[in-house]
Amino acid sequence: MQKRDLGKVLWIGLLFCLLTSGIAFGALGDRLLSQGSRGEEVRELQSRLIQLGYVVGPLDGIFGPKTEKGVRLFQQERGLPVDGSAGPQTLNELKLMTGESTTAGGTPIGPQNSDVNLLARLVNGEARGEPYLGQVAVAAVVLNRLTDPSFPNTIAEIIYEPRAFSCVDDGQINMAPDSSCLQAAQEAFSGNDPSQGALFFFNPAKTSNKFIWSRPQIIQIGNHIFAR
Amino acid sequence: MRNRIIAGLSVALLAVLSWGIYGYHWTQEYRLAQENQSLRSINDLAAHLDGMETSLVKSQVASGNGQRILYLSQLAMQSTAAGTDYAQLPAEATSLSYVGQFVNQVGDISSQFAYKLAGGTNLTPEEEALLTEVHNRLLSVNQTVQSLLIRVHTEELAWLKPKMTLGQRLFGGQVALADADDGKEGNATTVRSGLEQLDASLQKLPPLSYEGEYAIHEVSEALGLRSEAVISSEQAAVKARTLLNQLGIDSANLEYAGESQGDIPCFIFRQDTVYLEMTKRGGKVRFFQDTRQRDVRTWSVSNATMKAISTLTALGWPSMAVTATTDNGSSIRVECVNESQGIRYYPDKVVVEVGLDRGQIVGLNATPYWAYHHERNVEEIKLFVAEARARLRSDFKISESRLTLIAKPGNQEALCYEFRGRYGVEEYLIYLNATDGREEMIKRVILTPRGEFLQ
Repeated sequence: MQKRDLGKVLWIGLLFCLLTSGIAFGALGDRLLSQGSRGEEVRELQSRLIQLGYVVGPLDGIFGPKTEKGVRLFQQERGLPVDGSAGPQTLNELKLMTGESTTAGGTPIGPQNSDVNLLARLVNGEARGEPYLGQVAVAAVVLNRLTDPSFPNTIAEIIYEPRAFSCVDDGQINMAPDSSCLQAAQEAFSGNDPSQGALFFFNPAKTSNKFIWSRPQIIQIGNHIFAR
Repeated sequence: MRNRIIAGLSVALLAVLSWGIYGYHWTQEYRLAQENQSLRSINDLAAHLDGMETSLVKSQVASGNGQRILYLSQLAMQSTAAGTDYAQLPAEATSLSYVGQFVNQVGDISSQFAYKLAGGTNLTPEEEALLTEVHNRLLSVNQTVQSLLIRVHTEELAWLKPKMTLGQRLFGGQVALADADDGKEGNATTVRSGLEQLDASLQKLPPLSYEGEYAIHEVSEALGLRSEAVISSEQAAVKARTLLNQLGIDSANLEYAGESQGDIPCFIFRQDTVYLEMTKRGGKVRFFQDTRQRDVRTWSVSNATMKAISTLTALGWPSMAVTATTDNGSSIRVECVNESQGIRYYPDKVVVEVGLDRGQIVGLNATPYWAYHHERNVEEIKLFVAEARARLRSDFKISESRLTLIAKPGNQEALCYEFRGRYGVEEYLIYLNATDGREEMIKRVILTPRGEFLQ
C-alpha cells in the first residue's frame, strides 16, 4: 500500500471514530430527538420524563410512540408547543424541571423533593383516577397530620404508620406516580388544601370501619369523604 | 401405566411438599424480620421514654439556664424519637393515638421552653407547674410501657391478637378476647391492647394547657368573617356568578353542588372544569379552581403577576403585596399578603394562579386570609430599625428590611423586622421581634427549579 493510500485510510478512520463517538456520547440537547431516535440522549430524556411522572415505556434509549406520548404530555402541561419532538425548548424546560436546587450562592444541594415524591406515590396509590382536586386533598390530609399531635412528625412516618393507608399494605405505594399525582403533591405542599383541614379520608362504598365513619365529615370530593 | 401414574403423582407430591417447605421457611424469615423490627421499636420506645423522664427531671432541678436548655433540648429530641418508635408498632386499624399525642406534646412543650430560656426569659410558675404535670403523666406512660416490654420478653406477649393453639389453627377456632382487648381495664393479652388501655387512661386526663405547635386549638370561626352574616345558597350562587364573570368565565351552567363543613363552611358550585367554594358567612370566595386544558404560553411571568394583583384589587383586596411566585409550567402561582401602613401581614395570604396561555385566573385560595385576617392592635414598636440591625451579626450583609407580622406556633403572632441578607454565600431571612429584639425565626433561601423556596 502506498503512503498516500495509508494516509487516506487513517483520515477516514479518524473521521469515522469522531462521528460515531459523537453519536454515542452526545449530550442531551445536542440534537433534535423524535420518533426513531436512539441512544444515550434518548435514554436520558426518558429518565428525566419518568422522574417527572410521565409514562414513556421501558427505559431503553429508543424514542418510540410511548416516549412521544410522554413528550407531548410534558409539552402540554408545561405550556410549550406540542409536537412530540424534543427540541431545544422542550429539553431546556426538562433540564430545568429535573435540575438540582441550589443555595442563593449557587451551591447545589440536591433535588430537595424526596417528600414530594413519596407523597405523590401515596396519592397515586390512594387516589389514582380521582379528580385532580381530590388528589390534592388526599395529599393535604398527610400534611395536615404533620401538624396534629396525634400523628407522627415526618411524612415518611405518617405514610408508613402501620394500617394508616391501604396502598402501603397492598404495595401500591411502590408504583411510579404519574405527573398529575406529582403536581397534586406539589400543590398541597404549596398550601392548597381542598380537604379543609381533614385528617382522614375514605371511600364510603368500600369502608365499614366504625372509627372512620364516626369522624366528623367535612366534604366529599370524587369518591372520597374527607373527615376530621 | 399404573406405575407411571404413581411415579408422576409421587413427583408432584414431592414438588408440592418442597414448595410448601420453601414457602414456610420464607414466611418464617419474614415473620422473624417483622418480629425483630417490632421488638426494636418497643425497646427503643421504652429507652426513649426512660430518657425523656430523666431529662425532664434534670431540667427541673438544673439551676442555670444553660443546663436547663440542654436538658429540655435533649427531652425534645428524645420525644421525637419516641414518637417515631411508637408509630412503627404493629396496629390493626387507624385510630387517634393519645400516647403519640402526649409524646409529641412533651417535645413541643420542651422546645418552647428551651426557646424561651434561650431568649433570656425565665419560666413562669405556671410553666414550672406544667413541667411537673407532664412529668407525672410521663411517669405513668413510662411505667406502663416498661411493664409491657417485660411481659413481651417473659410471656411472649403477642402484638395484635393472642396466639392460637395448634388445635385452633387447624380447626379454625377463635381466641376468646379478654375485656382488656376491648379497650377496657384488665390484664392486657396483647401489646396493642396494653397500649389501647394506656390511650384510654390518657384520654381521661384534661388536655395540657400551653401555646405551641401541637397545642390543641380549634378555631371556632374564621376571624376574617366574624362580622359577616350567614347567607343562603341562592344568594351565594348570585355572588359566585358575579365572581366568575369578573374572572372572564361564562357562568351560564353554574350548578350548586353541596356544602362543606370545614373550619370555614362553604357552598360548593361546579361548572365543567370549574370548582368554586363561597363562604356561608358573607358569600366570599374561599377556593376557586379551573382545571381547563391550557394552551401554549404567551404571557410573561411579570405580566401574569401584574394580572394577579389587578384581579385581587378588583375582587376587593386592594393592598396586596407579592411575596413569591412558583412556576407551574402552563401557569404561575402568585402568593400575595396584605400590606398596610408599611407592615406586611404574612398570615393574611391569598394565593392566585394565572394561566400563562391567556392570562386568565385559573386558581384562587383565600383560606388563610379569611381564617386569620382581622383588625389587629399592633404592638408598639420599641426597637428602631437601626437598633434591630445592631443586634444582627456584623458579617450578615443586609440587602432588604421591612416591618412584618408573622405567625408563631399556637395561633400567636409577632411584629418583627424582616432582614434579608447574605451570610457567606448563602441568603437568609432573619426576623427580629420589634418590641423586644428577640430573634423569632430564621429562613434559608433555596432556589428550586420552580422558584424560590424558604427552608
